[in-house]
Amino acid sequence: MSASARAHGTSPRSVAGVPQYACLSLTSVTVAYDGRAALEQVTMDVPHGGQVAVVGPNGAGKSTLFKALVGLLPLRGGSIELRDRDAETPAEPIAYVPQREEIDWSFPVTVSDVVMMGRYGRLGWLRRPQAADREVVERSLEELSIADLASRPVGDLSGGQQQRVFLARALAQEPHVLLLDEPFTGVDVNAKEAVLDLLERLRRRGITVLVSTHDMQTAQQRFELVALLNGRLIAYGPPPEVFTPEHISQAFGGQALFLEGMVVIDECCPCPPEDEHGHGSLPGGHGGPA
Amino acid sequence: MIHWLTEPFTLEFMQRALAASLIVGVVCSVLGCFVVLRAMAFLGDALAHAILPGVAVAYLLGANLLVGALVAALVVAVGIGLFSRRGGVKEDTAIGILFAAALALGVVLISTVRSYATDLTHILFGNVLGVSAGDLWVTGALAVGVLATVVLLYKELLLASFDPVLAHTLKRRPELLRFVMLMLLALTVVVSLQTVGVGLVAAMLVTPAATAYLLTHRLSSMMLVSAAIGAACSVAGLYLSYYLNVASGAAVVLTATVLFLLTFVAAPRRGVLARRAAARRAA
Repeated sequence: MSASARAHGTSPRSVAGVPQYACLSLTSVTVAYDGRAALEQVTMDVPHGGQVAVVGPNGAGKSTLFKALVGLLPLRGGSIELRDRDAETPAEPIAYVPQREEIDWSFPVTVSDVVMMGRYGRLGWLRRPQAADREVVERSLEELSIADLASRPVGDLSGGQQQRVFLARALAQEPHVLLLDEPFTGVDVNAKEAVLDLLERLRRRGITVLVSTHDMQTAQQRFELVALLNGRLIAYGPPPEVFTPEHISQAFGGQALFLEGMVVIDECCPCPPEDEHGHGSLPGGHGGPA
Repeated sequence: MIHWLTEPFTLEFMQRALAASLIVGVVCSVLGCFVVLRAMAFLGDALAHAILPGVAVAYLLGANLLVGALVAALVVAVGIGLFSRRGGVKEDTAIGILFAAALALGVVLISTVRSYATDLTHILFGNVLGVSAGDLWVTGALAVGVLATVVLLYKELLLASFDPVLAHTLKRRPELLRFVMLMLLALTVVVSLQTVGVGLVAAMLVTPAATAYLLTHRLSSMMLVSAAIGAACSVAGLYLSYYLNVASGAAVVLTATVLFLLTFVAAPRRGVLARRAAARRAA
């Protein structure tokens, strides 16, 4: 089904208080992973410049959703539509920042090499980066305050610094939509605040952002929209509408406890094992006020 | 001393041997960087053994051995690619099956010939002293082709090796690049056939590149250092072979191995000693 059939914003799925035209429209998206449906019938609209926290238990399909959005996993059903505010479509409108443990950090590349990779989509095959590309790389490094690390090998950096490198790379892609997979996992408080600061600046520039996270408190306090997933979309909207006891217990089942108005999610730590460099601390609890 | 250095190369066959060794040393070492970084060592070894039937058929037909090897390597590279595509078997399983089958087929074919033992030895361990002028041209042309492809596709190969996911989202066709990589590897193995032979080519692919990995932190510098190491080991191996009268391919590989071991212990930052010292400072 094409989303153009409901282009004029009367969709019951649009969220109150945000513009009716959507930047990213998902219609009945079903994604299978290893033959098993990991996500079923997800339908949601994300407005231009909207920032959505995607939350849910382990295996809820958060990463699957992102991988489907960038075309890494094929859709079994439904459609994803990306509408640009201006008609012209850039080379690659969606930038995806994978989880840190999906990368081989011992690979011999420097920080600026990695950020330059963000430009490759705009460069043709066989074309070398131009002065304009180097400028964008420099600006992206400065934006993340890692310009001084430009010539360092990525393997030497701390977890938080490695994450900034990948964020800088995503910015160098000059995307309309940015997908961050678990950016708060395995990094310290400063690195987390740096990501949140960046999101604030991106909001002002009208870049649409989806962030998957286990950090309920951050999702509740720092995002205007939350999508609660567990194999399907359980709830989507502003945090107070999403974080209801009913929705939480649907998503987390017996893992969720309500203690004096707080949601406590009792699940084993989703964080990866400490990386070999021993950098970075893990975020504290996975609870938050309901 | 000068005489000692120049003496081996007054002989024409030794000059050809030197040229062939240098070409092979450089090409193997450059491509070996991808083999090391993408953990394709098993694949390189398998491809090397898999070209045996091609060589045997060419030999039986009286055709150029390099051409036979090339055809076989390409067939096996395509075969591995097809067997391990989505939904098939895992890649190392596909490699294992094809590699053993091709090796067996090669031995069967070669054993039909009377001079079986000598021929097999040459194919398995190389015979750099027997390189003809024609072989040298073929080797040189293939080497230029492989190196030019690496230079032209450097950006794409770097991306696909470091982050295949980004390569995919940027529509850089990582599976196509992977296939290109397999082809380059097949060509490199063929190029190496006469100098180090099927049995030792894996070492030439892995050892100089692994040494360079310990010394550098950028792919481009890793490739340059690796090429220099490969070239140096090839020359040193030839001298050893000449003066000690030992098999040249094995001498080249052993030289490279010694260099790797020294680097592994004493490399400035990644060597055992440097890491111990760093750990002590941290403690």
